[in-house]
Amino acid sequence: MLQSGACCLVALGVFVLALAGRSAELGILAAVSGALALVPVVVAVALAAGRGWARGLGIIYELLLLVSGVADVLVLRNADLVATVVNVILPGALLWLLLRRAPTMSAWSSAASPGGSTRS
Amino acid sequence: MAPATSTLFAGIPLDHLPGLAGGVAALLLVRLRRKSLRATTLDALGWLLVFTGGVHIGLTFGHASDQRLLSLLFLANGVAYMALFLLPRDHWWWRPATGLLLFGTILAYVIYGATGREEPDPVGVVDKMDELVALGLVMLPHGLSPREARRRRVRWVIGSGASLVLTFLTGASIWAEDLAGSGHSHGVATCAPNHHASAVTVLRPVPCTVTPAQQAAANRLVAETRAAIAPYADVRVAVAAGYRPATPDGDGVVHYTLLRAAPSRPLDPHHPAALVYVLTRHGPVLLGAMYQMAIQGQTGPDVGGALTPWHYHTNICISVPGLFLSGMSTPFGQCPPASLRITTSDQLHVWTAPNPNGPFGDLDQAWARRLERA
Repeated sequence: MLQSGACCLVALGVFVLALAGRSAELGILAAVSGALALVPVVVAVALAAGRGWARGLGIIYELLLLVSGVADVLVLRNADLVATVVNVILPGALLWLLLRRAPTMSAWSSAASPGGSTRS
Repeated sequence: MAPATSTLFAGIPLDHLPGLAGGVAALLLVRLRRKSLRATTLDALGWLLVFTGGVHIGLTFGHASDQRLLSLLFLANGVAYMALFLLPRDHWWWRPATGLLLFGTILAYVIYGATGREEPDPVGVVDKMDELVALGLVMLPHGLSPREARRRRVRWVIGSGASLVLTFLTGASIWAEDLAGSGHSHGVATCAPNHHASAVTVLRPVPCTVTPAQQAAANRLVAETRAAIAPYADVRVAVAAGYRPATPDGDGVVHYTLLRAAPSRPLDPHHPAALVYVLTRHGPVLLGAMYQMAIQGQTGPDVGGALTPWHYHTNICISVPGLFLSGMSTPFGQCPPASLRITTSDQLHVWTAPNPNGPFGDLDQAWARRLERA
């Protein structure tokens, strides 16, 4: 959801630029950005519904984000704190979650634990 | 000289560095003391609370000397986060209290920025991301029996929708503050009249005085530029000379950039790096030229002191197919699909049309729009 919100912002930026410049190319780019912003929502909803393909779609999406994020940080040298966290660490963490864990968030934000627990 | 490309600490003000250090130190401390924290839940939510708690406590030191009240608020916030992290989560009020604190802190940051008291910076943005993720995890439904599946689904939808909308609104407000503010001016704007820096436009420092020699040199550059680019008033001449629009077709103010290799002399008036036109109903009208250094990170030569400050842009997105400007990167450092985020080399505009902000000042957008409609 957080990634979707961030991607919606990208789509909004391109949409405003497309409107200001009355540009068809930027309009198409805004539509593509908007469509890509919906992918995390689709993955989340499908995972919650127990659809097996959602994990594959999520992995592909996060892998794409991670590859472009690593290229941005290492090749283009845009290695500022925000880009590193949002475009490398966040997709990396979600990819790890999708690859290693069952599609549940309980281990990330566990339920009330009367006796307390120490998890890592 | 400002870095040509971003490094991990680029753009972080000195008084916010203790915040970042505090966040990292808190994570390390908890990691080292994990055995003595048996009553504490160390899941992702726990780590996120520790980080933001550490950031807020660290910021206390960064603002202690000049903003006492803000400093106290940071301390209270950081201590509250740490307390919530250390407390067991079996109290009914734990999630509502944590959610309210996270939401209140995000809201306070947005309001503080919107009223001009705080400029967005990387530590603030990363901390807000941390809090948004934590808030999303807090809103997840927990502890409901299978019989309450319907209620659980409703909570999922509300929590997910709220996370998405909050992230979008927070990012949009940070972006708006970023574009309206003068985060990277480094005090230059006060010395360079009619120039305003922003998060995406960094002004090079200039001396605050203008000598008669600098004034004469600036006047000479305007005169030479006006004479040299006069033939390009006809856009077809510019296209024949190798200039191409840097944004897709449309209208408004367009930079026509020279596609072939940059000239060896950055201030060559016969071959400026770009020509700026406003697209009117009667065709493109030449507004002026843009000079650009060939090498990224190299400071442009001083011509007229405070009259002619060079600038560069840090958050430009260029579409790979077509090589046109596809936008500016968001506060989260993201560009549209198939686009690259680049930092430009130093640039200097010379307006040969009567820009109200002067021949070197920022282009007056209202004036340009009037021209466009004329």
